[in-house]
Order: sequence, then structure tokens, then C-alpha cells
Amino acid sequence: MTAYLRIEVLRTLRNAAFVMFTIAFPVGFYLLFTTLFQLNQVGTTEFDAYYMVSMSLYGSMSVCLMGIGARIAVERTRGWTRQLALLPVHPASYIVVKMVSATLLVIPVILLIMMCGLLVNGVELPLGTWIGLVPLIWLGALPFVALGVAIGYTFRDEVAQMAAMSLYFLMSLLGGLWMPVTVFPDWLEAVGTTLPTYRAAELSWRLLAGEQPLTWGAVLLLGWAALFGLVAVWRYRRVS
Amino acid sequence: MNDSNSPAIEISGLRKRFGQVVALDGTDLRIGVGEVVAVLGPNGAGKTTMLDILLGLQRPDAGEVRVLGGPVRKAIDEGRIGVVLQEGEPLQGVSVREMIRMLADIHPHPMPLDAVLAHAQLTDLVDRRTEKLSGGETQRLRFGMALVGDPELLVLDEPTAAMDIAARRSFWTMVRGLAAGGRTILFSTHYLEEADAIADRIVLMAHGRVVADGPTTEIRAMASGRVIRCTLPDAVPGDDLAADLRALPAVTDVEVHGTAVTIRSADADATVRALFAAYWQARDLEVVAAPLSDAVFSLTEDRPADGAQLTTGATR
Repeated sequence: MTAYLRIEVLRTLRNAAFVMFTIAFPVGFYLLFTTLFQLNQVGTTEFDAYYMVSMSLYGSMSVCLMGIGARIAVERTRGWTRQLALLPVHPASYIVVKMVSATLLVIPVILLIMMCGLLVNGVELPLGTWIGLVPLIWLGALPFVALGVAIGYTFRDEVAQMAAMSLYFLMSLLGGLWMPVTVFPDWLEAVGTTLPTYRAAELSWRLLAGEQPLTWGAVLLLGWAALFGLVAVWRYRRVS
Repeated sequence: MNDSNSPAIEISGLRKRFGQVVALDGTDLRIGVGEVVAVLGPNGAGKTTMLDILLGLQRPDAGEVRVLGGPVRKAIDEGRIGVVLQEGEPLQGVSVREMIRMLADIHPHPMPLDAVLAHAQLTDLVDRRTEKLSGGETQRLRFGMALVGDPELLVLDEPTAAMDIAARRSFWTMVRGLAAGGRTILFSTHYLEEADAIADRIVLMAHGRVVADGPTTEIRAMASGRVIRCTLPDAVPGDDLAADLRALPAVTDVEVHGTAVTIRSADADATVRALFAAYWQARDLEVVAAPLSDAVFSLTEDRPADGAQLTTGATR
């Protein structure tokens, strides 16, 4: 199993589209927007630090939805999962490898954006905050692993890629990952703050603001996670 | 391990329908250890459905399957079956070596990497990425992937469907090499000559049933036909020659092209005797066994539209 996990991670990193969407875009956006927009602060947080969280989560979602979700659909359509069913591995190992590789691949994305924050933009944070951010962003990304699985087992091939891409852009835009929801009109802000993207990032934004990360927003995120999880299990069961 | 008496594959009373379509209609099949068996039949005969059920990819409506003396899942988990499905891409973004190493890691008693590479003619491609392989090379990789577990039983579902003639030939050379090692091999094909050349035994399927099963020679004999060719130099085109020839004993079919005559006969001796009696000038006489395609046609002839899809590969 570890051999399968190893090549799964390896071949995902070798995929040019994956590297572009998951690493180049978030890093590029982070550097571009922190330079372009002279937003000094969001609330009490420096924009350079605030946007680090946004883009880390944005990149992490790409891992989950595009890197894992859409590719599940492709591999199902092209018969890899059928071949796997004829190998001496547990039937669930495919999905386990996918989910574990997603949770692993999120980590370098988060670290890379934070490096840009630290080294390029000179973000200054207490050491404890730096260390706390990584697991918090990682935790916020987990519900999207389930969403990716749900997409992968609902749509086929190119349709899955379109669905993943649409959800990815829509949720990150409305959830305030591209620009803070505070710049939205009130009604849009109300919509945005109910989304899992906002609530996932909120954990880390609160940490940056020196606040306790776990509020009722975390409960809402947990609700989303449960929903995505249920849909993923339902879709997976249907197909298997 | 199973004892030598228990068959490699035992299928009994298999039934499967998809809506109105009956895919399998009480299929029975028993394959001994070490046999090389071809499943032959037109599209829609039920070959793939039977193999899918055999491998546990589909559930039958009724009937039983035992593989290597037990349930197929057990045989798979013990790494005793290698399969090449009709479709299915290897993982992309990995090299041939990485792909095979990974599979070796999940099998209980893998074949050494070098042996897999040699059997599947992959030695020169070992560092190539899977997505950069040509169609024929990909098929070799798929074959190599089926060998990694050092399986006792190989199941190949139309493995040469997408190959050109040269690729097919080299593919079957690889398969023959493995058959020589005492492995049981079950493959389905559209190509009569492949069944003829590779298999010890042919199972002919039509309409979800096994309509014939035996050594290749026996399957041919079942059509009990001979083809008689000769030249009738005095034959007058437009004459009632064809009708006259058809009236000869045991004749089943007649084709006349100018002076060249082809007669199909159920009893060549009787036909030839009568032919010479009636046409003393007949020459260039040739009597041959009816080609396997004739046997297939005669056994599946109640649906000629399907039978017509059978091809003899290079010869047609």
C-alpha cells in the first residue's frame, strides 16, 4: 500500500496541470495581489498575512477538487479502478490512497505560500502563530477532500473536471478567498460567510487576529464536512 | 494450492440479462489446469459478460463460478490470477519500472522485475513514462502488469482487439511462452486464426451459450464439411451447371466462377466419386477441410448478421 501511495503522490506532483493550478496560480496570485492592492489591513490583520491564509486554502482546494476529485473521475472512466478490482488489494484502498495523498499534498502548498509571505512580503508573526497556521489551514482543507471524492464518483471524465473547476472558482470567490468578504455588498457577504471556504479560512484568520479560532463558524464548517462526507460515501457506495 | 484434479475454472448454469437482452443463457464451462482455451464468438455472444462474471466484476442472475478451487476473490487476493481486460489504461505519470514495482509490492509472491520485463518485452521501455507508450507498447505493459503476480491463471479479454497484425503476432508469441510454463490461459477473441493457432481448445459461444467446445480439430469436424475445388474446362457459363452440381450427393453449397468450381460437401468421398462420373474432364481437384470460419458460421448460423462480424484477421 505504501508503494501505491508513494507513486500516487509522485505522479500527481509530475502532472503539469496540477503544478500550475495548485502551486503556480496560488503563489502567483498571492504575490500579484499583495503587490497590486494596497489594502493595508483586513480588520486588524495585515493584508499580506491575511492573504497568505486565503491563497493557502485556495491552493489546497485545488489539490482536493482538481488534483484528486476530477482525477478520480478520469481514472474511473479510463478503467484503472476496474483493474485495481482485480488486484490483491482491499477494494477501499483506491479511495484511501486518494484521500491520504490529498491530505499530504496540501502540506507543501501551505508551506510554499507561507514561505512567500515570510521571505518575499516580510510578514511578521509570532512564532506560535506561524506554527499554528499550518495545521489550522490543513484542517480547514479536509472537508474539501470529501467534496473531491463526491465529485469524482458523481461525474465522468471531462464533466468532472468542469464541475470541480466551477465549484472551485465559485466557492473560493464567494467564500472570500480571492478578496475579503468585507468588500462585498451585505447580502453577498451573508451568502459568502455561510460557505465552507469562508469558514475554513476563518479558523486561521482568527488566529492571525489573535482570537480563539474555534467559534460557531467551526461548527458550521463541521456541518459542511459532514454533508460532503455523506455525499461522498453515498456516491462511492453507488458506484462500487 | 489446489490438487491437480480440481479444475482451474468451473462455471455452471450462468445466467445474466440486461433488461430485455439475455447476455448469458445457462453457460457451463470447465477448464482444467494448464489448458490454453480460446473463447470465440460473435459480438454479443456473451464472451465479455462471462469473463466479467468469472472475475467477479459483475454478479450473475443465477449460476456458480469457482476459480482455482474457490471463490474468485480468494484467488485474486492470493495473487493467482492475472488479467488483461479489454480496456483500461495503466496509471499515468509513472514509468514502466515504477508501475511494475508498485504492483509487485501489493502481490504476495511477485515475479522478479527482470522476468516480467523479459516476458512482456518491456526491457527497453523500463524507464519510459506510461503515457508516452505507443498503443502496442501499452498493450505489452498491460500484459506485463498481469504477470507481476506470477499468476497460475491468465485471463485475457480480447487482448489483441486494437492491435495491428505485427503487434498481434508478437503478443501471441509472449503468451505462448507463458503457456509453455504450465499456466492456464483463457482468452476471448474475434480472430479465428488466433484461436486456431494458440489454443488447445476452443469454446464457441453464441447467444449466451456454449454451442461448441473441444479441440480445434474437433470444432472443425463438427461442421463435418470439406471444400472441394476443381476446374471444369467444358463448363458453359450461364448453363445450369450450378444446379447440376448441387444435385450431386452430399453437396451443401456450390459456387461457380467461370470454369472454377467450389463445392461444399458433407461427405467428400461420395461427392468426388459422383463428380468424376458426371464430369470426367474435371481437373485440378483439391479437397480441403472447411476453414474454421465455416464451422463457426454453421454453428451460429441462426443469426447470420452476428456471424458476419467474425473475421479471420489477416486473411480477410
